[in-house]
Amino acid sequence: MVPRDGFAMALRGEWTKLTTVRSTVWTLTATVGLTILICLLSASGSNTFVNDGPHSIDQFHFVHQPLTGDGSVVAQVSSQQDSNEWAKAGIMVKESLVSGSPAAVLMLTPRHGVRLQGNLTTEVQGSSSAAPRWLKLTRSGDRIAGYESGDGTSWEEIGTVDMRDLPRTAQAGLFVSSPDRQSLTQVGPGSIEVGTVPTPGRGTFAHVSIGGQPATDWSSQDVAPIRSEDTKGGGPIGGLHPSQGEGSASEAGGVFTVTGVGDIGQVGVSGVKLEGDSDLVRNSLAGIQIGLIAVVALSVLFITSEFSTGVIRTTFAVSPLRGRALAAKAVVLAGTVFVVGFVASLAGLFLSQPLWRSGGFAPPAYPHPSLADGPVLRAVVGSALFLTLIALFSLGVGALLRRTAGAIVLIVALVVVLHIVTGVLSVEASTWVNRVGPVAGLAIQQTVEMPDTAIGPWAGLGVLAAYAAVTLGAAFWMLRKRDA
Amino acid sequence: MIRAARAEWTKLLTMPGVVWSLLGAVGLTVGLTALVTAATGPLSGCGADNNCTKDTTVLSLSGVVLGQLGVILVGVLAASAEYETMLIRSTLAAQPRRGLVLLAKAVVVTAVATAAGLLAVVGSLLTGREILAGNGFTAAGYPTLSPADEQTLRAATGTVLYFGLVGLLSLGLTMVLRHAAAGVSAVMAVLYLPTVLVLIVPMSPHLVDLVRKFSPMSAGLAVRATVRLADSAPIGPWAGLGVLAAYTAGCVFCGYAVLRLRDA
Repeated sequence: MVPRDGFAMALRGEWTKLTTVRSTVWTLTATVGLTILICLLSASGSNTFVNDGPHSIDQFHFVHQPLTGDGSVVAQVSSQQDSNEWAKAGIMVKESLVSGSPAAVLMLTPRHGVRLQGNLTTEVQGSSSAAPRWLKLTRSGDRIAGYESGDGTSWEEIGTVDMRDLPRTAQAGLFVSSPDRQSLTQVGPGSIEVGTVPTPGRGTFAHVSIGGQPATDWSSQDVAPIRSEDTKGGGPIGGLHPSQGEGSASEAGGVFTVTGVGDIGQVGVSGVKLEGDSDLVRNSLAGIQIGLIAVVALSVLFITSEFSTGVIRTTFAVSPLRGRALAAKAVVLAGTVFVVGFVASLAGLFLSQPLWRSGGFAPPAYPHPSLADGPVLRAVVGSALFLTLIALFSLGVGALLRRTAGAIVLIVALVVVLHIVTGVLSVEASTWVNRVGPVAGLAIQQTVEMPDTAIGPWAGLGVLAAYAAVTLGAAFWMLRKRDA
Repeated sequence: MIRAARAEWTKLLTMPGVVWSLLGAVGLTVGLTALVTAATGPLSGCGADNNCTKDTTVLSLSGVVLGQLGVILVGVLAASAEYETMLIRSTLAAQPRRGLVLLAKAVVVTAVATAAGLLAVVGSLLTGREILAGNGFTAAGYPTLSPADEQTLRAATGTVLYFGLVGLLSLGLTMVLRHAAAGVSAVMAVLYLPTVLVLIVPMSPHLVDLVRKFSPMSAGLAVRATVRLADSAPIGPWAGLGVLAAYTAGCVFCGYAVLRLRDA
């Protein structure tokens, strides 16, 4: 039984008004159509070569001396600077000083504990300790075993590495590496380039001995891949193309201080990631930014057309509780826009994927988006919520201003224009607008933390929700105070 | 003609919202300029080599992109309000020469928009000058903005004219569409959509250049540039304003054609 009066009836009334107006069909079709169109356009114009680059990296500063036959390298990493969560400081036994040559590496990281790595490809995890920590590598024939210790007397074995190809005389010693940090540079109007800056790591080592003897006669150098000319300049950003950086080493009273940049491992080992330079999911949902304009028009017209035609008086005669009439409008509008927005974002994301993939946005740098993945689901549902909140905000502004043109202009100014203006002009102003303007809600689309991230996903949506709540609240209050 | 213009003047300024829109044009321009200049230092966003000269005139006129909305609204309302209330029939009964009606509207809207533009530009330049000086734009290479500088004067004059042209374009386009919502959406689409698309959709540099050269807003606003004209602006200052003027003429002509040919 449908109740004959009350909120249910108001809802039905608003639903009928919304669905029988021709502009509703137009604007909703435009929402989905524009979103998909812009998603496809941005996908078709994008390409990346991140996946074509090398899939492993071997770069660090090495303090070394020859180790012949069986023997041990021992050192206490007494301190390590937290330059990057995957900065590495430790000891290694390596075939030669050529980047990529076989090596057994025992490393300490600031936040990921102790790890024993073999030939860039295998990895055994030790304790989760940070510096200070004693490390030891022992070679016996074809195998090298890694140990760690808190005091240098009681050792715990982490594992062994098979080093069948290691010559009798290898290079053994201390190393430090630290991956690059991403940086943001404005290279022109509206164009922001993501680059990398070296963040040198630093470690100090004490009680260093090799082959049972206290260490003497060391030499040190950077171990780094040779750069081929064709990757210079025009080479891809992101991926595994570390900055060239100068490491250093010094010794005073048996304490070594070593600095270095780089990373050691293949993709997926020891925190080495083939990182894309952009957030694929967010970029795939770019169309929402244009689709929202149709949502604004729909939502503003939903209330202002009643004022301009005088239907609002009939509405209030039927439902004298004005707050209830507005609430019914809000519920009907929110429900409709959410469903349509969900369809639009789902279609925009997944229809554009083949185009993105053919542009090089493919695994491993860019995994296929899947709704089973939390951030991806959050981005898709969040985009629908974003449009819903934009609709409620527009409804509130429309109810306050009662004039179609003025309301649309005001909202588009706040949501779209402010965003593009500051985006073109300066990184700082743009970050500020992305944090406190209604567009902060778009943050819900991000799935990867980027250097230009202004605000967290839910916090951003919260900012937009606050805008919607304040305007709707003011609209409730004004509707009761003012003649219709 | 004088009578028609006086009638349009009265109608426009007694319409609710018009005065607010004009004040909004000034306020939004100055406000956004203040926001942008406050957030900009001489080296912000310059990259490692610190090799970037900023155009203080453009920065001090950055609010125009937002402030023009007030003028757009006036142009739209001048056309749409009469259709909404069917006042247009009385207007056309009183003045059967439809071309004259449109001409009178065009004169009034352009005058009002240009006046608002003058206030907005002067306010915006003064605000930008103060804030930028406080942000360290004092070293050599950043002389204080002054109307004695030929380039700055050209930028200021051109931007005032830009306001007038945008108001007129809004009037013309809405005379075609006859509805406030449609008019305002169409004008904003014509002005902002190319810029938004350049930001969102990846395009080849050649295509970006073409879009910026021949879209009304980015071409028209090229009149603000004073340094490194070849790099920073997509098109020469007066040529850019000419592109906008061409769009405006097209819209006004279409508005005239629709007014002549279609029943009111």
